[in-house]
Parts: sequence; C-alpha cells; structure tokens
Amino acid sequence: MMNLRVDSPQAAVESSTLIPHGYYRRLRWISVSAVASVSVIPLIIMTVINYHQYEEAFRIEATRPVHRLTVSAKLSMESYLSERLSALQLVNRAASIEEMRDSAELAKWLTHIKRSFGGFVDLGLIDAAGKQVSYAGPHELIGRSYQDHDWFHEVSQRGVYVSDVFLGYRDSPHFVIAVIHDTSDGTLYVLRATIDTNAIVRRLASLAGPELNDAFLINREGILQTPSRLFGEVLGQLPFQVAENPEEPGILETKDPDGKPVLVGYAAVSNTPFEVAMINRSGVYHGDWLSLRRELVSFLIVSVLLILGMVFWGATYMINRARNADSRRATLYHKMEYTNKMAAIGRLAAGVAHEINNPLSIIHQNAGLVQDLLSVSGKEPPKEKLLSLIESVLSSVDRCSAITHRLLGFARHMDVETEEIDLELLIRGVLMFLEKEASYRNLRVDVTVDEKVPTIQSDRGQLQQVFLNIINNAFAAVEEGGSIAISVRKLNDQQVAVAITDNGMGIPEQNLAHIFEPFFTTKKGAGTGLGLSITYGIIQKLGGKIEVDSHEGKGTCFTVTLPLERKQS
Amino acid sequence: MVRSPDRDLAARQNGFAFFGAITASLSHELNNVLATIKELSGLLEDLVHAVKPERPLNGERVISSLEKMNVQVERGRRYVKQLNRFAHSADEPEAAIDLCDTVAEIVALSQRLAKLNRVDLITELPEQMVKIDGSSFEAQHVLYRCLKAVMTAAGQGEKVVVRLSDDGPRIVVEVAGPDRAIDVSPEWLHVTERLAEEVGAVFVSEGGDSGKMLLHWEPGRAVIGEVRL
Amino acid sequence: MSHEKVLLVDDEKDFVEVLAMRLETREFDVDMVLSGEEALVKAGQRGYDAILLDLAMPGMDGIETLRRLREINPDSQVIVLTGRATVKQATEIMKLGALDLLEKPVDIEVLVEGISQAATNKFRLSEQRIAERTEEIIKRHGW
Repeated sequence: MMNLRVDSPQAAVESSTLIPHGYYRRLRWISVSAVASVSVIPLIIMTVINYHQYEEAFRIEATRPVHRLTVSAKLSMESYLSERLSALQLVNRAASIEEMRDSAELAKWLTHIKRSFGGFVDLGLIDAAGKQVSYAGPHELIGRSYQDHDWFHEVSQRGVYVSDVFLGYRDSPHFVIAVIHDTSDGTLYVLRATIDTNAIVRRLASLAGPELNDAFLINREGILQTPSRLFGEVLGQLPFQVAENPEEPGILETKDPDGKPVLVGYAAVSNTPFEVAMINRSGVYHGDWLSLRRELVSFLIVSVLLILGMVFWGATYMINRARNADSRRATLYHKMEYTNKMAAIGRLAAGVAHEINNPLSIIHQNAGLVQDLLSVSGKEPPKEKLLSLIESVLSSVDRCSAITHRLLGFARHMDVETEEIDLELLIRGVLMFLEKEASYRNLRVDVTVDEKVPTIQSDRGQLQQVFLNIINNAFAAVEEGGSIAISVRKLNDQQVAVAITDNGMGIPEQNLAHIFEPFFTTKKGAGTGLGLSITYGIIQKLGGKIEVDSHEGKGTCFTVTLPLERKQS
Repeated sequence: MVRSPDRDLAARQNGFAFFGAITASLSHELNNVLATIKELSGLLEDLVHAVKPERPLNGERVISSLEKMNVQVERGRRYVKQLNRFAHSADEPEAAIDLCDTVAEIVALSQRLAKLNRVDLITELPEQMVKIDGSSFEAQHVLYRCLKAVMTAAGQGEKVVVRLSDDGPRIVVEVAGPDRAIDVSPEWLHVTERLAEEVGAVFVSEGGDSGKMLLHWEPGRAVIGEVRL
Repeated sequence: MSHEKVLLVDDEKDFVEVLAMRLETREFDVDMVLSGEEALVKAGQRGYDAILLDLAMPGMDGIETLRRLREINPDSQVIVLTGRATVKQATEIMKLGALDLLEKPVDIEVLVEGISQAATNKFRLSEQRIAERTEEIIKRHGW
C-alpha cells in the first residue's frame, strides 16, 4: 500500500520560514541604538563632567589675579583713607580750638598737611549749630550752614565721616572727610576737609598695572567715584550691580558696554562708602580655555561620529551576515521542502503505478485462460465461461482506467499559470458541463454573486477543475429534484469566498476528517478517491483554502477561499 | 555567486511541471492501452455472443484478438514500469547515477512527445557505464527541457539524436536536431542553466543554426553557467 | 435506419481496427484513418453520418482536425474520443461544435448511441436544409 500520509492536509500545510517584513531593519536599529547608547552616553557624561571641571579650574586661574589685585587695592585704599583721616585727626588733636577757629591758622595747618600727606584741598571748622566757623581753601564758605545736611548729623553721631565723591565748583572730583572735635567744655565742633581723587585715581591705575583692564571706585549705589576706562566718567552709573558693602572681596562675571565678557573683582573699603572694582576684560574665557573647550567639543563630536559609524557599520555587517545566513538556510529549507514534496509526489505516483499493475495482471491471466480453453481442450468451451472471463477483463480495464484518469488529473495540476479571472463567469462556464445532468435529474442550481466581487488572479484551468470537482460531488450527493446553491462573495481586501451548498445526504462525521486524503473514497469500487485530495492540493497551491461543513441527512457546504492575488508559494 | 530566489523558484515549479508532464504522458499511453484492451475484449464478447448452433466460434479471430491483447498488456506493463521508475527517481534525490540509464529512460519517456511531434528520437550511448553524482530526477528534468526544445524546433519526420560521450574527464550529452535555430526565451535559458548546475553540469546551447544543446560534466572544473548563443 | 457511415480517426492502430470491426458487426459502414490529415481527405470524399475523433494525435491534433472538419462541412457530426480532456480543451471542443465528448475507454453501447444521435442530427439537418432550400425556391419562383 502507499503512504497515505504524504500530501495529506496536515503535511501539505506550508511550514513557512518567512521573516516578517522589516525584521532586519528593526534588528539593525535595535542593535545600533543599544551599542550606541552604552558607548556614546558614558562618553558624553564623561565629557560634560570634564568640561565643568576644566571650566572651574580655568575660572579659578582667571579670577586669582583679579582677586589678588582687588584685595590689595582695597588695602591700599583703606590705608590711603586712614592716612588722610589720621592727618585730619592730627590737626584735630594738635591744634587748639582757638587756632582752628582762626582761618589763617587753619590755612597754616592745611599747608602743613598738604605738604606732609597730599590730596587735601581745603580745611574748615563747623560749630555745633552747623555753621562754618573758619575755612582755609580755595572757596569762600565761611558762614554757610550745614545744619540740614545729612553728613553733618552722621558725623555728629559717629565721630568720623567720609562722603561720596562729588564735583566741586571747579569740576574737580573730590570728597569730604570730617571728624568731631570735642572741647573740654563739651562744645562740639566738626573739622572738615576736602580731598581730591587724583591721587586715588593714580594709585588705582598703578595697582591695576598691565594685568588688568580697568580699576575704579564706586559707592554703594554703584555710582562711579573715579573715572573708568570702560564704564565712563565719574558719577556715572555702573551698568551692573555688585553686592552692597560686601564683607569679603567678590568676583562677578558680566559684560562691558561693548558686550564683551569681563571679570569684575570688587571689595568694600572699610569705614568708607567706597568699593574698589577691578576689571579684567579677558574674562574666564580667554584663549587657553577657549581652545581647550574647542578641542574637547571636537574630540567629543569626532568620537561620537566614529563610534556611531563603527556601530552602524558593524551592525549592518552583522545583520547582512545574518540575513545571508537566513537566506541560505531558507534556500536550503526550500530546496529540502521541494525535494521532500517531489519525493512524496514520486511515492504517490509510484503507488498509483503499482495499483495499475494488478488489474493488468488479471487481464493477462484471463486472456491466457481463454487461450488455454480454446487451444488445449480442442473443443468449444462453454459460452458462459468465456463471457465471465471477458467480463473480468472488462472490469479490470475499468479499474485501471479509473486509476489512469485520476493519475492524469493529478499530473495535470502540477503547473500553475496565472491570469485574470471573473469567478462568476468561470462558475457559470463550469455549470454548462453539468446542465444536461441537472435538467435530466431535475436539479435546481442557484448562483448568487455579491455585487462587489472583484476579479482574481489565479489559474483558470485549475479553478475550473476545482469547481467541477466540488459541484460534481454536490450533484452526486443530492437526490433527484435536489438543490445546489453557489454563492460568491468578497471576504475582505485580500480574499473572496465561494460556497457550494447542497441539500444532499451529507458526509458522516467520522469521514469528514478524511475526505481530503488521497485514496479516501466512500464510493466502493468507483474511482480511486483522488478527487478531493487533488482539489485540496490545487487550492493550497493557488494560495487558498477549502473548508467543509456537513450534517448527515441535511447537506454539505464546501467553502473555497481564494486570494485576490496569487502569491509565490 | 548570487542566486536569485525567483530563478530557484522557477526551477522548482518547473520540476513539478516536468513531473506532471511525464506522468500525464504515461497516463495517456496507459489509457490508450486500456482503450484497446477494452475494445478487444468487447470484440471477444461480440464473437461469443455471435455463436449459434449453426455458426461455431471463430477460433482464429479469438486467438488473434487474444494475442493482440497480450501485446497491449505487455505495452501497459512497460509503461507502468517506466512510471514506477520515474516516480522513484523523484523519490531518491541524490545518488551516484549511471548517465546511460538516465538518458535511456528520459528518451523512453519522451517517445510519446516525439510521436506527437512526428520526430524520430534516437540515442547513441556508450557501452560502459557513465557515473555521475546527482539526482536522476533533476538530470532527466534538464535533459527533457533540452529534448523538448530541440524536438519542437525539429520538423516532421526529422531525427533528434541524444548522444552521450565520455572521453575521460569530460562527459557530454548532446541533443542534436536538424540544423535549425532553436528559439528559446532568456528565462528558459536561465532556468535550464540553473537546473544543469544542480546536477553539476554546464549547459551550452550552440549558436546559430546548429540546433544542438550540450550538457558538459567536467570534474574538477568549477561549475559556471556558461552560455554561448 | 441502418448502415450509417462512420469515420474513425485515431493513431492507435490496434484500437481503431478492433473498434472498426466491432462497429461493423453492428452494421455500421466504417472507414478508418490514422491521422487528422487523412481524416480531412476522407471526409472530403464521403459524407459521414458520424466522425469519431481522437484528441491526441501526432501531427494535426484532434482540435485542429475538428475545426477543419467543421469548416469543410458545418453539418459534420463529430464525437471526440479522448483519454481525458482538460476543462479548457472540453470548452474549446464544445465551442467548435462537437456533438459529444467521450472518455476512453468507452462502452460500445454509449458509442453506438452517440453515433445514432449523430446520424439523426445529420438527417434532421439535411431535412432542414432541404426544407430551407425548398422554401427558398418557393419564395423565389413559386409565389
């Protein structure tokens, strides 16, 4: 017997090695992004950390001289001012109140301290009522009252006073220092001196030296107390804010009026309203840092590009290899599948050939027997004997030809050609072959077709065979006067379905699972049963499927689903 | 060498088609045999039915019919044997095969095609065996393609010779028809080359009007799809 | 209605000879040829009531022979005998106006019935032709 397993529906189900569309592209992106993230992200983090560390180092490097010079400028200003105050205190203590009330005497003192200390412009005494008692200097101020001036109250309370810079009558910037003179009788006088800022300006310039771009004094409100190279003349307003009366010298990063970055060192001058400001125009970001930063960034960019390139190339290479391996395996697999299918078909055909042999032998035997009967006995053999032998030959021929017909049907359907097919026309064409039988047996055949059934791409000859087989089966299943309904409808955008329903005898449940197996037949002695298995095979090959639903005594429904376009199997 | 999957697919579908063609051809022959046997036995029946007391059985006609029937049975058996062998060649994919056998078999299987084309199909085979490694089925397949192309080009009553020669390292199967150009498509050539490759041979279609197709086996030589047209 | 004239066309010599013999015992007037070309010649010589035609033949095949037979005489009653026709072939054969398509091996009774049908058809057709011609003649001359 032959192997029934071959070409059975179970074995014929296409085991597919098809790889989903876009699989390799997705695989490549996954590996690229995975490798890239574990290599690029740490690199970026490292570089950012390094960047900040370097920047900090460079900031410290850049601010150190500013800081240092700011501190020495502060000290220098403090010593200069305390010198002036000491000089004023010296006059205050050395001179008697009478001397001081006398403008001529006061002028002598002024000359004296001008010579010894410098920077003094005038000297004057004001009594407790705020009235100018005496004065030595370029202006006529005697008799002027300072009763309502803030500075007068301040000096009365604190004993010492240093004023903001202001422009005098001759447009020369100067400021005032004042001290309290306590007489023995408790009468209060204020000794007041005006100091010009030329000496301070010179000192600041020399302190700034060649290292810094600018050095000047400001007051607590940010008003320039000495001229600034970058920020304008005396009494101008600074465009930025520094901390008011800072305890510690500070550094500020800002921009000059030209928009260039500058470092500002600032420090309060103790016991005065002044702060020193030292400006370094090159800022933090001068040459070395900028070039280092450039190098760092370009190093990062080059590294990242290099890594990405490598990763990309590597992934592409690996995936291409995988793809090639897959495709080689698929080719091998398909070849094996092909070889196996071919072998299965070969075994099937060999089995069929074997089936033909037996009836042929019977024919041969019977022919021989007739010959023997005629030649050996010498007398005429009985008519019935001869006829029965001949009958046996005929039935063997029938058996054989049933098999060869099936074999031919089977052989014909191993090739597929594709063309555009209108299913309704095709089915009506097939029905033409059966018209005679239908009218003879008084069968009713209805064909209903959905309006929107499109044409399909398939093999005309094979489809005709399929429908002829199924409709023929339906005809065979129904009694005289039975009915067969054929409906064609669109299932979805890819498939159409043809249902062939009869109200015949139906298929017993135990047979239902086997009807598509080769050599399964319920018609004893009639045919070899290749019909439905061929039908099944053809539909498989055309990329469709066939399903059967049957109830014994009620009828059978075969549903053939076909793709709109035939895909390469 | 990059193989196009389409070409492989085409070659395989051709494999099924080839199997189908041969099986169909043999089935036809078998059917003819059966039809003849049926008529012969029908005739016997007629003869027996015709027997009447005054007319005895025509023994001579019966015997001659029986002889004819035996001839047909033998013919039928021959086809069955061919079909069996052919079907098994697809069953045993790779083996050491005797090319003499393979050529003889495919030529026998192509006789019906030759008959339909009214072409004399004859073989010239060497005495000794010609061994190659490969699938007998695939070898028959590629040979059948060549045979079919050459026979289609040949005219009525003309001769197509399948000549197998083995001169040491080189084995050649030559399918030679009359000197007439063979019209084949590039696709046909691709598939044929591919099939020849599968059995380790090189397919060559001789150019011009020679009407010849050659299959070479040259051991130790890389198999390259070489076509001269 | 006996002695219908039948032409057998088949390249299978044994088959066609035996079939001819059997049909002759059934009182048919049988001619046989082994190819389509010969069939055309024979059909040109004699009017046959039925032509039994094999489909697969060397040289001119059955379909081509059928087409030419029907061209020569549209009333030809051709029964096609075949191993097994494909649906496509069958459609073509029916389109070309064959009377019937019978599968080999065929039962002699079916064949005889087919031939009788063919003969009847042929007879009816020629009656019809005669009637048409008569009518035409009457129309033209008889008013």
